[in-house]
Amino acid sequence: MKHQKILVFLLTMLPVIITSCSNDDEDEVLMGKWHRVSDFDGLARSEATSFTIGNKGYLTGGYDARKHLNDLWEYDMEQDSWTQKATFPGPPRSAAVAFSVNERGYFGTGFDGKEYYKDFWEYDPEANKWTQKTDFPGSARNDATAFGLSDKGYIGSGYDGNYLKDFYVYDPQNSKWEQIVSLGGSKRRGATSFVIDNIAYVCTGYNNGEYVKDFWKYDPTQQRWIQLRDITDTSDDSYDNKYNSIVRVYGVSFVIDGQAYLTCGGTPDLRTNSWRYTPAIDMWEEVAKFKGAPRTATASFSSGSKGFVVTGKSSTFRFDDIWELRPYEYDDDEY
Amino acid sequence: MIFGNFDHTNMMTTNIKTGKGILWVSLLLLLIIILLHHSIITIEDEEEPKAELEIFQSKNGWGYQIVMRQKVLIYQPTIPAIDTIMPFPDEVSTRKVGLLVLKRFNAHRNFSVSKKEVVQRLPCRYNFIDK
Repeated sequence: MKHQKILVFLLTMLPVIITSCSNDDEDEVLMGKWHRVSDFDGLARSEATSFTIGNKGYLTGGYDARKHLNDLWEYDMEQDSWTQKATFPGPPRSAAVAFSVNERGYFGTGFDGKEYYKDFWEYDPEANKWTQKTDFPGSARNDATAFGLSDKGYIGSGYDGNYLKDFYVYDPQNSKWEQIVSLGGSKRRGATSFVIDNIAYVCTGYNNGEYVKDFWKYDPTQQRWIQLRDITDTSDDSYDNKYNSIVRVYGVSFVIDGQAYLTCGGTPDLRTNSWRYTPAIDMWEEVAKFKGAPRTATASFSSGSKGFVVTGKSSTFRFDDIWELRPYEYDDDEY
Repeated sequence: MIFGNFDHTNMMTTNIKTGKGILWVSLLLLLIIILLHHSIITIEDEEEPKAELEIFQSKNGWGYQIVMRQKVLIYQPTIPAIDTIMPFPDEVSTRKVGLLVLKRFNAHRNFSVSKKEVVQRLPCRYNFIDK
């Protein structure tokens, strides 16, 4: 009789047991839904570099666990298809940076396992051509951060054997570099940056044993860095009580409809927590967790209306899948 | 009495054995159901069709696309890896490069082609590109 009760109990619990095998212990409903947009096995790599022009994302460089890469791929966000473009003519490398200004991509710095780089290149998608430009004037480095802002490009921070926070501006009109005031606060590598309404934002990263919590914006009209609220729970107010998983290194960000989204990366445990930043109120809120395998050193495409996470690595794998966050949907499978 | 006692003890042993049997069978049943549940998901995941190569003619030349489940994954209207916006000059070279990409794609290998691999498959008059 006792055993029959156990049998009845086990059979009653069966749906619960099976369901619990496929669900995480998630109680809170978070906005946003991650879609795997392309079955695309073969481009597995980490520390690749990306930039976006219009609705096309460009991916170059990276490391596939055997060698550093220099192929260039164009991703059409509307068609969800890829085209191989002109191979980058400089030395293959990973952990470089790129930005786009006036329909052109700019790519430089990086590391190939032996050497840090400071060469700097322009990619013209119209002609499918690479042209070498004036070298980056800071020290050769990797893990820097870069953004295009008001017809100019900016590269700064990173790692050259030491953690850095110096910043430089590039003017494509005359191919000249100029040093600007250094990023405020912590030196850092593996930070992420995004641009909203002609203001650039730099956050996250790692500095000598610490995941940096200070957050800055750069206003090109004032030519200065302005500190924003910390991205951990450092204030006495309640707005940041839930800021428990924003800091990270090698996270990626993208902008959709005037709000920035931050995901992936690690501390060093891999982060799937994703956060949305609203500049008008200087506040972060958590959105749906990244649904692909947890990863770091990913690349991202950001058209302003769409955001994608591309490639990346975990401790054992390098990934080739591509994920799009649709921020206004809910993932019914998660709850 | 002795027989009666023996029978009673025997029955109790049988009952305990039967009870244990039910428990083990139920646990086994549960395990099988869970394994079946997961294996169905695995089988569904493993049913992956191979990609196919499609060659197309454009205004000024040729291109290829890699298609899977009627979806275009790679659209290549221009010669890959080379600094050019030219399409392929003929169907043969398009097919040669496309097949190389397809083979790698279906083997889940890096399907980027190098400049050298492309030039080797183009007509001789394009050898200057590699210089």
